[in-house]
Amino acid sequence: MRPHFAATLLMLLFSPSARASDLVVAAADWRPRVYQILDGRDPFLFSRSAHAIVSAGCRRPDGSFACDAVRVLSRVRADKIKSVPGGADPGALVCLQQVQGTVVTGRPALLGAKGSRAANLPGGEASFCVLPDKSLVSTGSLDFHAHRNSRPR
Amino acid sequence: MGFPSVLARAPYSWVVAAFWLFWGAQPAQATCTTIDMRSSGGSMEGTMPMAQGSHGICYAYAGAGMADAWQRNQLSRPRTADALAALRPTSPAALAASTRAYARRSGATRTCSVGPGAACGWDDGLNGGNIEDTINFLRQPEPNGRACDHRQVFGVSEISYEYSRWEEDPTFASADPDPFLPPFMRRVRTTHARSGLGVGGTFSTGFASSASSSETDLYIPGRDSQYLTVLNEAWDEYQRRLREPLADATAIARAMSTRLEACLLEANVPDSLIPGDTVDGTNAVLRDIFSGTRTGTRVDFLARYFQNACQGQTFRISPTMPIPVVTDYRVSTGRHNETTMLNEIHTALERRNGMPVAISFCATALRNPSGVTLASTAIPGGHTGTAGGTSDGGTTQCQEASGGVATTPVEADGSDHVTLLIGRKQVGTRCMLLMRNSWGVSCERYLPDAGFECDEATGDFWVDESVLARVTYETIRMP
Repeated sequence: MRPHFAATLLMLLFSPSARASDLVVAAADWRPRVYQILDGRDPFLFSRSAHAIVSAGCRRPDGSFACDAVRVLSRVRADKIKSVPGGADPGALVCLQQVQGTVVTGRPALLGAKGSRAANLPGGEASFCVLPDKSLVSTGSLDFHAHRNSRPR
Repeated sequence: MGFPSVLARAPYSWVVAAFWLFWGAQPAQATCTTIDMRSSGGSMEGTMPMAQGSHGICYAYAGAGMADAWQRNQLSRPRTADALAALRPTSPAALAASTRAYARRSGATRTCSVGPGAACGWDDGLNGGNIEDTINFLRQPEPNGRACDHRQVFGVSEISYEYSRWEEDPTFASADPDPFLPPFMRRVRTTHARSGLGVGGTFSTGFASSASSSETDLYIPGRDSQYLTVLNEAWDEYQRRLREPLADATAIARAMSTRLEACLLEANVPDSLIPGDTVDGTNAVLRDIFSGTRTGTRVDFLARYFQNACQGQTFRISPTMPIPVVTDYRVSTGRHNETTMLNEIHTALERRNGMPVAISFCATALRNPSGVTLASTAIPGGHTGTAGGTSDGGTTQCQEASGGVATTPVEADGSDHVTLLIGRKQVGTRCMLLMRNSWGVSCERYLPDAGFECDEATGDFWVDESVLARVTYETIRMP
């Protein structure tokens, strides 16, 4: 990551007023990642700095992002979740309760670029939220941003 | 001879004393040798992280994880890859349903609550429970005590796997040069498919023996994780229809059988894993499940469904598996002692053939370590305690913390959670515990700045023991 990108990201990550979509656009570390969901392989983009895994189709050729999966990251809130006893995944609850999504479970397929060391590691299950426009976002992304959006500003 | 006179006679002893003071002041370093139960020979070797989604059955995921670890430890050593591969993973969903139904049949009372004074019985589904109950169920003699293969519940009718190998091709010029490979290497991929029950985890195709090839893993397609939701909704609709005037119970059960089958298919549950088949507008097996539980409860319905769905795919875990030891460390009972708790956890981890240790804790700390604390009194109206269990009568042990003042029960984000600790390691002066959560492979949810170190391949993560100890209120371990 280039230094100025890193500085911008750090500033956005800890800036209480920065929106999640700003974080997503500013992230320069988007990497491809493939998950096997339902009967197909779904291409995703993963950014460690933006704390997000979203459908690869969310990213336009000009680098901007346009899909529900990214839009919802700015408005989900952890303090609005109606709780379920038994430690349910908060991101899955956000998906069902706040963004009218459906939770699906998939598995990481080949990770990252070819030749990367992580490419062939065995994976477990991972949960995703399918949004009304059929874009997907990981429940972990929803969990992180819901908590971030709920912090006092 | 007194200590000072020793130092006076042997000046280098000051150095020894300085070392003694330095190391002696950090007891954690002496007890934090690396342990990773996922490594070869460990009780979690080859186990698969799972995702519970929106269902409140963390206790069953932890219980299934413990049972699977117990299975591994029962194998004779040295363990072979074939012996490990032959072990079947326990289905948490089926385990939760079976455990709850068994408890009801055994005359247990259900005291859970989802709000102050709210009535709570056996019809509120599977959310909230205790690990020890699931283990106790698996110890019961036949016909109880049978686990269901997770792949039968979370399986597919067709699997595909990808075989890839690197081969030399001097004419190949990649548009996206790979820094790890010479430019003339390219990956050749072939996708294969076969019908049958999904096998889970890594699948050997036999191609790896080829000298120039490497084998990729098999990935089973996921499906709608709303499996349980579909079943719950079917039960709700069945009960609603039964309450209608002039309801014909037989006709309703018949109609519900086809409706449920359609909904399960829509939720991407493979046809081959749905009990029975629809013939002449009726799925006889599903119809009988509805009819047989008409006067029962939701728990009976779910248990009976999984019993049918798992037919031929159930198995026994060793009946010698002991009942776990549960230790209370609640602040509200005056038993919260972090030193004692950590000693207990480390002692359990250090044991030969060590088993995972489950902890009930405030999961909010995973996202905001300073934003939550243990409640000084159990707070009614929050989650049910004991990881959503039945023993607290609808209370939470967790409350928000801000500036040292804590008054609000944490309700919003899956606090009162239970997960497994499966290892530890020393990082600098800190002892980090390795946690396997049941929220899937999702490192993006954790803040590295909060001291978490997440393994992106598995979603398992290392967390400072002092952070966990502060918000942990119960340990569950094998004796």
